[in-house]
Parts: sequence; structure tokens; C-alpha cells
Amino acid sequence: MAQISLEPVRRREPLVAQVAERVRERIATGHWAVGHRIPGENELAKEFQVSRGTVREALRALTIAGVLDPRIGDGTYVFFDDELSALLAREAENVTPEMATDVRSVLEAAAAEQAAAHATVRQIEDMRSALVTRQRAHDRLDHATYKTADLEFHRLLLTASGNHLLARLHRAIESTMTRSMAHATPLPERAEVGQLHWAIIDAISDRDAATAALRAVRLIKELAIHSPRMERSSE
Amino acid sequence: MSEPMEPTLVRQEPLARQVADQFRRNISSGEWPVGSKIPGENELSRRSGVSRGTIREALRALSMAGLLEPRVGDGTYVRSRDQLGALLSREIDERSLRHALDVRGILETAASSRAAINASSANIEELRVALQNRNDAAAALDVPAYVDADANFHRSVVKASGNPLLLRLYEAIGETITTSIAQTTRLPESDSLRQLHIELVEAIQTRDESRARDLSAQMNDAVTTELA
Repeated sequence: MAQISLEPVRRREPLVAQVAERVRERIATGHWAVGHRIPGENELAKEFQVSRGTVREALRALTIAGVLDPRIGDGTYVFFDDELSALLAREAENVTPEMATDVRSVLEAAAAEQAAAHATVRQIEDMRSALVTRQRAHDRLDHATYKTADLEFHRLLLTASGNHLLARLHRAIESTMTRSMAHATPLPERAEVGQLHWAIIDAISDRDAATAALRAVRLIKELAIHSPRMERSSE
Repeated sequence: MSEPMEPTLVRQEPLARQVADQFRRNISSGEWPVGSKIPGENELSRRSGVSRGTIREALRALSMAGLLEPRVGDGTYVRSRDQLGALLSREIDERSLRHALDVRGILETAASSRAAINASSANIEELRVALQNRNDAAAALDVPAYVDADANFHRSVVKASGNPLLLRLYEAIGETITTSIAQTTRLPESDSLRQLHIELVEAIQTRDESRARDLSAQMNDAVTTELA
């Protein structure tokens, strides 16, 4: 495991909050991924140069926030990638997958529209190369790489919107409510799905905001209609 | 990496969480209003029969979540009622206020078109009442009442979309930007702005989806230009 931020925490704000922030950071950057067990209290105490009690309290705060999941006799696991996702998941009782998909398409269409205005040449290149990776993985039925490249493309799109908040909300909804759905796509995907991805990036590089937005909405609808979970409940 | 867990840790874990959930409910129900000082650790411990350490832990977690604010030598105050709003406000500063306004506009415009499709007769009645209150406050040149009535009107529009997630995100973002809206509000409002609100209710009532979306987009442009 690569080591990051090795310097000891400083005593400005409450130590517990600082330690929690460090842990939060590692989870947000994917250094400690969802489903992984984080190091034990002793190890973290040594690394952060704080007492074990401080570490324990920070971990408990993140547990209360729903980010960490302590398992008796085992260890502490990452449950959600951030507090926003954890909170949305907790509040999502009366939200159906259709509703979550709808909101996701709203955010994604807005991002595509804004990206057409704001994306840098570099960002457009990065999105294209994510699509190339996605396409190649798709063609050789490499599910894992396909999934990663697909996620990467959508994250790049949201980042290219230039609106940090839009990207945050999209990610939270994706990781709580529509993740299982989007990932259920069987390979090979329907030809329209692949084509729409390329069509979105074409519209963005043409700086055609309205077309980019329309295509993003069509893509989400296309994915939703053909997701096994959606078919049951949609008309 | 596996190390023996202390029994106390195992036993106390769910308890601190339960206590935090209870405090969270006290905040969201308004029993502990925003800006008020909550009872001290000793009293909370006595009332709930839970150790002071557990209380302290729950309070600390809620402070980190942005709901409570401990003040040294004084006590703990309620900082925000909406945890989602508190989390989002961490991400919004003066520079990104524009982003928050944009996202709110995006959500409201999407909600307006969905309201034209989904609004129930109860939703439409609620919209009419909200519109009337808004217009009354504007006519009375009562700025605080107008700010409230306007926020309530827009909330009713988003509610009429029938999508609770849309409403939830809208409210959370709303909480982070209402203060800046209130600061820039002036009365009387322009005839065109007043007219846009009236027409939006009509468009939703007549199920005119694209008109509802256009009107909402125009309103948001007006607000964004005002604040820019």
C-alpha cells in the first residue's frame, strides 16, 4: 500500500477532527476503497502520531456518519466513499430507482451542456481516450476494465462541466442508488449505448451544448430501459 | 492488520450511534432549534441513562457532520437543521456560490417540466396558495415575508415534480444559498418577474411541459443575473 501524507497531524483544530479528515481523504481518493478493511487503530495511531483513543474516536465519528462499518472480531471496513453518499443512502427510503435515474439524467445532461461550453481540449482528449479504453474492453468482453473506463468517462464528463457541486451530487447518487443498475449492463452492450457515448463527446467538441444535453438524456434512458431492475417496474 | 478488539468498543459502538440518531431527530424536528444551545453533557447523560463518554462521542460526531457547533467555555449550539445542507455548505464558498445557483436552477427547471406531467390536484392547489401569498407579500412591500413566500413557492414547484430526491437536493442546496438571496432582494419586484411566476403555475396546470421548463429557465436566468 502506497504511503501518503506521512507527516504527523498538527495541533490546530481538534485532533480527532484532523484524524477523521485524513481518513476521509484516503477514502475519497480511493486509497482505501469501498469494501476494503482499513488498518487497525494501533497502526493508524503510530502513523498519525496520536493516541489510540484519538484514532478510535475519529473512526467512530465516521462510523456514526455511515462512512465506516466496524465488524465485531474482524476490523473496520469502508462502507461508503463519503458522508454525502452515506447520508443519501440513509434518506433514500422512498426514492425508487426510477427517481434516482431521473435525477442522475438531469445532472448528467446539465454536465454535458456545460462541458460543451467549458471543457478544455485536454479534457476532451481524456474523455475520448477513456472511451477508447471502454470500447476495447467491451469488444474483448473484459467486464472489469469496461466498468472502470465507463465510470471514468462519466466522472470526466462531470468534471469537464466545471461545476464541482454538480460532480459531487452526481457521484453521490451514482454510488448510492444507481450503481448496481449501471453496472448490471451485460456485455456486449446494445450498439446504441456505445454510439451515444461517442455522440456526446462529438457534440461537446463541436461546442454544441443543446445536442450534448439531449444525447446525455437519451443515454441514461437507454441504459435505464434495458436494466433488468428497471424493466420490472417501468411501464 | 487484525488486532484484538476491546469488548467495550464492541458494546459502545451501536450505542453512540443510537444516541447520535436521537440527537439528529431532536434537531430535525426542531426540538433543538438552529441557533439554540443544547443541554450539557451531564444533563443529557442523566436524561438518557447513557454514559457521559458516549454522549460526548455522539456530540463530536454531529459537530463533525456540521449539525452542532461546540463553543469553548460556553456549550454546544445547533448550527444546521439539515445534515445534507450542512455537508454541501462545506463545499460551497463565495467563489462557488455561482455553481450552487446553477445547480439549483438545473434542479428547478427539471422539476418544473416534471411538475407539468406529474402534479396532483393537491399540488396545484398548494401552488396557487403559494403564488397568492407571494403576490400579497410583494404588494405589501414586506421583504422578509416575500423572501419566505417566494422560497415556499419554488419549493412547491419542485415538490409537484413527484420526485422526493429532486426535492431533497433542492432543499439542501437552497439552505446554503438563501442567505445570499435574502440580502439581494428588493421590492417592488419587476412586472416581468411577477408574470413569470403566474405563467409557470398556468403551464403546470395545463400540462404544458416545455413551456413550464422555459419559464423556469427564464426565472433562474433572472435570479442569476441579479446576483452576478
